[in-house]
Amino acid sequence: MKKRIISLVLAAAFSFTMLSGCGIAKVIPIGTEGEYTGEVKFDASAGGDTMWTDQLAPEISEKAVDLTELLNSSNGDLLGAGASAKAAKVPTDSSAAASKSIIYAVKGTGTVEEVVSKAVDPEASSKGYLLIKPDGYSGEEVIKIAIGPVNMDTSLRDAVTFMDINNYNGQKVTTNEWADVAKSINQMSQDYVVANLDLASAKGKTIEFTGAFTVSSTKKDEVFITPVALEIK
Amino acid sequence: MEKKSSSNNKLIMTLLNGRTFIVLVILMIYFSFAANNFMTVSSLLSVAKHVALYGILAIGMTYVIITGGIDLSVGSVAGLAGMLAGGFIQEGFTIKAAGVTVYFSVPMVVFITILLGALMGALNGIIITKFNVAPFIATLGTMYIWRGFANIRSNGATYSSIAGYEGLGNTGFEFFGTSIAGTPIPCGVVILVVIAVCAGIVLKKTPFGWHVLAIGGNERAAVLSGIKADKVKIWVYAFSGFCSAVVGIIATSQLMSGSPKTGESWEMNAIAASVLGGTSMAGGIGNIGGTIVGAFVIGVINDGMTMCGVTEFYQKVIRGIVIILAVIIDQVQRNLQAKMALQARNENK
Repeated sequence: MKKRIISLVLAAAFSFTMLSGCGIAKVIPIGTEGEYTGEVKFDASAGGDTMWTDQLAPEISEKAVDLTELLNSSNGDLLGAGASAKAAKVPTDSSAAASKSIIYAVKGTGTVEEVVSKAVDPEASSKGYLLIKPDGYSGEEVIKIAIGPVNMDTSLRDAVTFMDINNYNGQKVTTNEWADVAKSINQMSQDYVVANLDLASAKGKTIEFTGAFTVSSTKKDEVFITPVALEIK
Repeated sequence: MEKKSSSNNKLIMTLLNGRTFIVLVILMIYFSFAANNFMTVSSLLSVAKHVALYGILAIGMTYVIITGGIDLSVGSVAGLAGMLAGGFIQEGFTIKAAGVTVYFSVPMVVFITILLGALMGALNGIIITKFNVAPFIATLGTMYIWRGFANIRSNGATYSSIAGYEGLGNTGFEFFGTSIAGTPIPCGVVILVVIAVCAGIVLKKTPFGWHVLAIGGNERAAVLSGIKADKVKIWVYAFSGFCSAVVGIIATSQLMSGSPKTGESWEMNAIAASVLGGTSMAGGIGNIGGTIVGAFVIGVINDGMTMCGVTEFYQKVIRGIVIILAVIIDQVQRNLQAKMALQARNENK
């Protein structure tokens, strides 16, 4: 058996060498295409840690308006002109404009009413969140803060001005790559903000948060915030 | 009186024998008036490019139909072949256990794809002959399977970077979708001619071709006379798979992108071209020349109607009517042939 495996491995090695040598095929180590094509593979987390700490988190914190104030002044109409004046960004690309979406950067304090997280209940959805009641708000809007691990939201990516689908690290990216950028940023939110929290004891406690959420004509009854900062007091 | 009727019959028979060609000429004349830009070199080359695809599929289909079978999987095999070729060029072939990715040169990609296409076809043949599954059902099943794999290959996405890289030694795939250097003739048309000539010669001049015709005419008699019907049928379906893979490569090269949707419902065009070309659905009768003319009729109808601004909905209706008319005329021809044979026998008496 051992001999057979060795001869198979040798035959495979011989075949690869032959294939490479005679131009029928080029055998290269996995992931080294760039060395042969000269093309740099798309990196959704380009800038990585520095981008999060030096650019993204500061910009969101700087733009953030008080959530309670925003909700009270909008009177349940976050897509309306009154509220949108406080928006972090109104997307100008056609797809977003078509669905009339607006992205808000917000901050505030509130009380945790429910914790949906695999860290608390293994049966819970992997799209975890904290259901909160913002201090000073008694309206009907449902306010949630994303705690993952799965988070499909794109608000953080869309809220900042230094990110553009047509110029991401000097290149125009595809829709799929652009989605990967949002995933990568949400993962950073997970690593920098959520990972350090004690979620098991969060229910009933006061939290202080900063983050961003998107409102659109199809998603206006729920405020789903992806955080850049979150502290349980 | 009888002599007059006999000469009339002969005239009708001559017209019926050349009916597809006559229809083609009439269509060409009609569309040259109906669509302003139909009779231009670029339009005719565009028609020829499409005909090459239907034509090659129809050649394989003609062989299958002559044996009394049908191959509904040709469009899906073409789609999967395109995805395999596109994937080999864009992503290579990764062997995780060895930690390497193999990027094949374009001739090797074509060779592997065609080989796999032929194997897919052969599998149809094996299911039909060894498990006694009706060709319609067997190929309907594989039609879904290959289409499923075409989507699974890329998770439904399209391979759009298939120009290859010098550094990876896999450039040149566009060759099959462009014109032959220095001429306006599309490469697909040249491939069609080569396959058509070879398939025509094999069908009419070689024992294998005679076996194919004999099996379709009367399988039991063919088996009793020593023909290995199962083996012949497996080869015929493998040939159909080969033709489909060639079409998949040409179509992917023409578009320079591999889509899992390539070839959807092309099997119907292939069957239509075969039937229009005089291949009998009952088996035993058919010729490659007729099939090629049939493919041109389908191509001219499709492109001509598009140029005239006829919507896809109406095109489908008209295509359906043309196919039914072709089969009715085929039936009329057979009845007339039988009548003439009877007449000739009576005259000899």
